[in-house]
Amino acid sequence: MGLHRNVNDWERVASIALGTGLLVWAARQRSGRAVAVPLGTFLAARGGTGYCPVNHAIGRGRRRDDTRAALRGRRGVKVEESITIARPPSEVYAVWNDVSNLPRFMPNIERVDEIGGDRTHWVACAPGGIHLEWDAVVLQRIPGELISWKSLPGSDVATAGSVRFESANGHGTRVTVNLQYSGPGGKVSAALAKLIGRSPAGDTHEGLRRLKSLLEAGEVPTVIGQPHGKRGGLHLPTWVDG
Amino acid sequence: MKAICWHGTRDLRVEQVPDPSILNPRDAIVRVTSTAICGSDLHLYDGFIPTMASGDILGHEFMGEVVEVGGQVRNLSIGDRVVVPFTIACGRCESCRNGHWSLCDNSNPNAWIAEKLYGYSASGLFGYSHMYGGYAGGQAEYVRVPYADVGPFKVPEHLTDEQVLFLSDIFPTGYMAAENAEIGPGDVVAVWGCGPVGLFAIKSAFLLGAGRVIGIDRIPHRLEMARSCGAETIDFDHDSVLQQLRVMTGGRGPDACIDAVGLEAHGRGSMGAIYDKGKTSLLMATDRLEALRQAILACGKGGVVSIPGVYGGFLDKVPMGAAFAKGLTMRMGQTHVHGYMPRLLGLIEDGSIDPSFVISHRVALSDGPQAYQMFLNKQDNCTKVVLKP
Repeated sequence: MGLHRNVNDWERVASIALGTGLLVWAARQRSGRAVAVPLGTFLAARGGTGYCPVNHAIGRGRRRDDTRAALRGRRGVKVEESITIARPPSEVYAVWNDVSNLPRFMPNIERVDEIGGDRTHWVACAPGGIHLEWDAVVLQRIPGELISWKSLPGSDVATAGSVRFESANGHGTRVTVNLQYSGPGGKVSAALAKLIGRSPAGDTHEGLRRLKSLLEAGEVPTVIGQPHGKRGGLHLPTWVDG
Repeated sequence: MKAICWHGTRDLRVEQVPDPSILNPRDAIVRVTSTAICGSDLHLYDGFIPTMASGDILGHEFMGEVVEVGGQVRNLSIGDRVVVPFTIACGRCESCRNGHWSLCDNSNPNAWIAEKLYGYSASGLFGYSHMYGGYAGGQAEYVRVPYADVGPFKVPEHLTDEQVLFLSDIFPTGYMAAENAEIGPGDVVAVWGCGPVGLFAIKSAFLLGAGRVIGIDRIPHRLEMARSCGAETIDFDHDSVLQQLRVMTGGRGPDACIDAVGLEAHGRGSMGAIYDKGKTSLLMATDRLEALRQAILACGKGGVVSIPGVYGGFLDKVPMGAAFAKGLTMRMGQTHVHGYMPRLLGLIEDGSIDPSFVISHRVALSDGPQAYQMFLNKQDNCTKVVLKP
């Protein structure tokens, strides 16, 4: 029947307690049974099975297996970033459209594999060395103009987004990324990541900047691996030596 | 190899560090034959520039011999003798193609730090803090040079290191300052600071047609050097700069003012200088800007204030009202070195200028830290130190 769990553990305990309480109370009363018995039964069943049709109807408790639900309204983290690249839209589009290029410029993305039927498998390294994996499907692809995607059920990260490629009036291509995501820990973990200098907006902007360098200069600038003297001090900032 | 490493305010050490290697296809490795200490290196030495880290290799004025090239560098060969611009530029972004080499979009791997402070990032620089890219500098035996297909400038054998070394920074910087001053024939130009950049600005102002140039400093030897470049001088320890400039220009004020001092102005005794000293000492301000204040207040109506001196943070008590009331133009920024090198080499070759006139000291790389100390304190008439690795 596909009655997947959509009530969290504490809420189930509370539902059982309240539901059985109502039934016990109703058994001792003459009046009020018409309301108390069905309501108590509903709550107890909801707690016992972990499935609530009301939650189902309003979309509660369907995080990550349902991208649309996970990212609806104020849920998820939203990012909008843009950069101008001195290359024609067709060329920038072509580089992005070949997903094997993405790890060359997107921070934290370790690997993207094509798995057939417009589907891709993503492997990312999150703060603290945690690996996150998800599958995504392309929703729309307009050559030279736009690619949009969303993640599929069973992902560590629910994400949906688009990248647009527009002519920038003689300056090349304006690339705009709109992205939403909800990972493990949701907004709390996003806030924590930001504290240690990693935010989705920052990472996206960094990715766009590296794409620009790759396309314009032919390489991404780096100082990782260059010589230096003795690094002193206990609190060496993260921006030193990469 | 040996390199001069930064370890904190007025703490430099000559250390043995690994040799640099090619990290990107457009890199080259240069064996340094001559390198110099820049006045702006003193801002690092004094701890005024944020995002330095212990162990950073200093130096952005250097030249030498190409010893290794990356796979994408086809215009250089092993053994080529080159001067390297202190600004690192990719040569292919819109900024570079517009001639704004020091505003290169692509050369700063730490652009995000600069963006937080300044909104957008300028180019990376050699040996000048992580905010400017964290690139290891050239006060070393070897240095890695990114985008070597557009940066390193081949120089003819008949010119000595000392004649061409300053194409890396201070000659183009002084020249661009004079060019930014939009000098017309016969104009009066005032130059704050008669250190190397100020001296090159004085010479360049004359080359660009200035009628009179007035140099402002307090070190007798530097004032003497300014006079030998053809300038009149004002000693700000003895005279009121504003009053003196008014008299010398017949009440017109200079047509252009060049601030070749930057964020560590001394401005002895003036109220503004005392205010800055107090505020920076309390870490409530980042820059001492008495030279800039004077330049704005002294400049004649409709004039230009050109700023080759380095500023880093938020300036306090800038006389913006004076700048507005007199309709001044202000121009500034790091030097677009790449664009100036061929032209200025021409001036050296045809004998219009011999940049080696600024050199006062030649010392071994391993004596670098003492040389910094001497340069900072202007001991022994020190104007410019060349280090030999």
